[in-house]
Amino acid sequence: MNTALSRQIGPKADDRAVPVLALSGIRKTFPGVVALAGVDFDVRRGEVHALLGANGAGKSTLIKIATGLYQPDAGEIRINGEQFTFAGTADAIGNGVSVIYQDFALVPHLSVAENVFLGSERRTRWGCVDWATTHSEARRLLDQVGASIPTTTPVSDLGAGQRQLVEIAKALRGEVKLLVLDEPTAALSHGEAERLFEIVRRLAASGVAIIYVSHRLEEIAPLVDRVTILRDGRSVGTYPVDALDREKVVTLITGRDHKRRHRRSIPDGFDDQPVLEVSRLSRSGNYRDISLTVRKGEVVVLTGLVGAGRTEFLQSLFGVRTPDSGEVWLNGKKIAPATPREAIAAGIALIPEDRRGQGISLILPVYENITLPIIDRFVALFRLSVKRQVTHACDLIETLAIKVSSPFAAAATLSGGNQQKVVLAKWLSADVGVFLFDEPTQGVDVGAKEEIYTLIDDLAESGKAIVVVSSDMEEVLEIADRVVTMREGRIVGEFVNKGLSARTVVEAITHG
Amino acid sequence: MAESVNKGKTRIAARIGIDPAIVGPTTALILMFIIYSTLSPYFLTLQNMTNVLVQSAPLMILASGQTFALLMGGLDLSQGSIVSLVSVVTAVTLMTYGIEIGAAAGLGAGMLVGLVNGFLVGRARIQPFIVTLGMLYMIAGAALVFSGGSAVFGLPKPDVDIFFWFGGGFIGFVPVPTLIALIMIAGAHFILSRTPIGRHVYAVGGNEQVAMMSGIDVGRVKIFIYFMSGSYAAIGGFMLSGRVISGQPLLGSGDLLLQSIGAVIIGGTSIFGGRGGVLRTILGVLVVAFMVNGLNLLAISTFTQQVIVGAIIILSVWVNSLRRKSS
Repeated sequence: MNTALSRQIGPKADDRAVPVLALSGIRKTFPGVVALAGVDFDVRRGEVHALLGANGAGKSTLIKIATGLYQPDAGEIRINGEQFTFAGTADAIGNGVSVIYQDFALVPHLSVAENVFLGSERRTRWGCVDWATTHSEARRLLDQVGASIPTTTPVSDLGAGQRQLVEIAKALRGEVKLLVLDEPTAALSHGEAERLFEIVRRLAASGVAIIYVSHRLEEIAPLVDRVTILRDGRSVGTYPVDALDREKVVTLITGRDHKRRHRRSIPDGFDDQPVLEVSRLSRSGNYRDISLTVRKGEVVVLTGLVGAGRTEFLQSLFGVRTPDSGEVWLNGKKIAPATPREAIAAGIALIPEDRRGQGISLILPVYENITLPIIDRFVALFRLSVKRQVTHACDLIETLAIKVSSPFAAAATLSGGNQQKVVLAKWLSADVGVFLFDEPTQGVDVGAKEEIYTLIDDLAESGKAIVVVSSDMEEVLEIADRVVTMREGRIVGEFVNKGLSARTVVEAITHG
Repeated sequence: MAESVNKGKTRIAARIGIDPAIVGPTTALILMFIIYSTLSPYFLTLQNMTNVLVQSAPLMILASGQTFALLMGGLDLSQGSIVSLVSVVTAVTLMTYGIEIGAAAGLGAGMLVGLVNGFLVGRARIQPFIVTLGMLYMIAGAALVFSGGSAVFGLPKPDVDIFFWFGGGFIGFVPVPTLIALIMIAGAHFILSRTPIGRHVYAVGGNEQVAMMSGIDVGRVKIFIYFMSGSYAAIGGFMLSGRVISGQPLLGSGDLLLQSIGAVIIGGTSIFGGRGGVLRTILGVLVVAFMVNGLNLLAISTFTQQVIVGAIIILSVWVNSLRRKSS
């Protein structure tokens, strides 16, 4: 109904000239911040228009204005050439604007079909929920996006990739003229992302205008027609995708000439004395028979598909999930941490994947986030010294170049990259010899990403033993001394990162 | 429009360096003072002010303890029952063994309840609401069982005078209960703002997972929180019991508990945890205490008062949420 119908009833804009959505001179300020300072942006029928920018560049604000969540302070919104003021999101949806947000907006305990029609339930004549129609229409929408999930499955039983498909089906339930995707591949595996791209391509071909918000142009380049780059609330230009390369994009996003990071040269040999030794560690349902040795100054990267058991393995080393069998030795001493507290005391730190859920407390000030694990050190005469905590935090803020308005600012006000640095800062001053990183650059913008790589290098050079879990192949090859591939909870390959190609690693992951 | 007014207020508050969260209750307090002092000549007298401070001292102590529980994102429903238990245990023990042992037994019983709450929440990991709801019933029942269902009167001299001194005595001009309340408040404030365990309370309330992953023993923090809440309730109960110089098995069964939770909320501590503090709570207690006092002076019935206090609780949370939205 949706795409086909919209083509018929839409105004005569098939001459692609009149944009489906045109924003001009959009300005939006929040107390103390100019989020957007006069941005022009448009998207045409059948076009995939990428919106790039660092965290805090104004992408989200622009999307929220385009979808009626925020009202602009100044500027004009035109839909199919007509000036428009959205009264709210419902109004935007009514006008054919649909959004798929980064964090899935699905209710876990409701069925797939109910989620698809949440807020616009199919009703019978008597006003009750029309289950037959709900399920049959949900089925049709799911088929349209190539998802074979039964409509009665609760969403909580689905993986990230399937949830994303349900999100898209939900976005397509009405008559859609404009679809906004906000970092849609953040939680997806490679195969799932490919499938999503295919769907986006199909939708564009059927005439839907698509805004695609992302950090990573490399990934989406084949999909995109035009690219607009935002920096500090301004548009720094709209380009056809062919006119851009990686270097240029990074320069435009960060606003400074981008020099590639100087990668730490991989040492030829390591101390023979291992720091961390894992021997046949197993946990049923998560991972099996994992044996791994990490030496002083070494960066070992565990890679594999989502669900390969890597996160659970790291969590076991950190005392979050107790393994069923196997042994862990740290500096020649056997350890079996049952809580993070014990793991930290033994000298292990974890920088978790779920940053907002486990790594950083958004409502606490930055300085307290940093001093949280070592707060006892700031007690003098039974009294906690805020001053000394702040001084300590400021040192680390400087060392790690964390961008923050004040050490007292709530962590929620920081960008993803800077939040990640705060999480790292937490552990730098703790007496820790082993650093476990779980997807350290997820949701982090280009500039901060490279800074985090450099920090990991520095840690290795200072003699720490490091284990990183990463799915980003470029990242794996960038930081690893040794790459260990995992599939379905087992180690299936191990490579020294010398002349290693992404292809070799990917093959090991999928067939190894 | 309410939102823009609020935004303005917040900005002014930020400029002169005060916590915008206290603007609401402070404004309410000032308004009340203006209205009541105009309507009742008795309101602004030293006698009345002292009365309010003495009468609200137990509530101040209870609410200070309750603040710990709310900061964690929990709540302590057993405070009222603890007050009753402390009252009867103290009185019954005092009869035979004197004030020292009576006080130790009474306060000890209350603290023990707090500790049990803490272990059930922190180690058995049962929801605070469930634990303290169950405890509300158990302890209320225990207080009745212990006293045989009736009040304990006729406490012996001179112990009873010392007992009363805690609830209604004076040191010079200063009422003892108010003094004790001030010391308890200062203690709670110090713990929450200046000790690692106090900061851990905020960390657990802000995000329990993050706290756990940072190496904090979350269970221990919870035990501490409910121990504090129970202990503060015990001290408040001891004081209240001293004032009525008897053991009353229903002393805490009135709206003391709800006032305690209400005052914390009116003060601006978030029920989701992580935000707030004990000084705000005191402001909340003052709003409740003066509101009730003023309405009493104006001869407005307690029934009407309940309606008004309830409305203020909702209003204060609403104002707070508007403020958050605007910032």
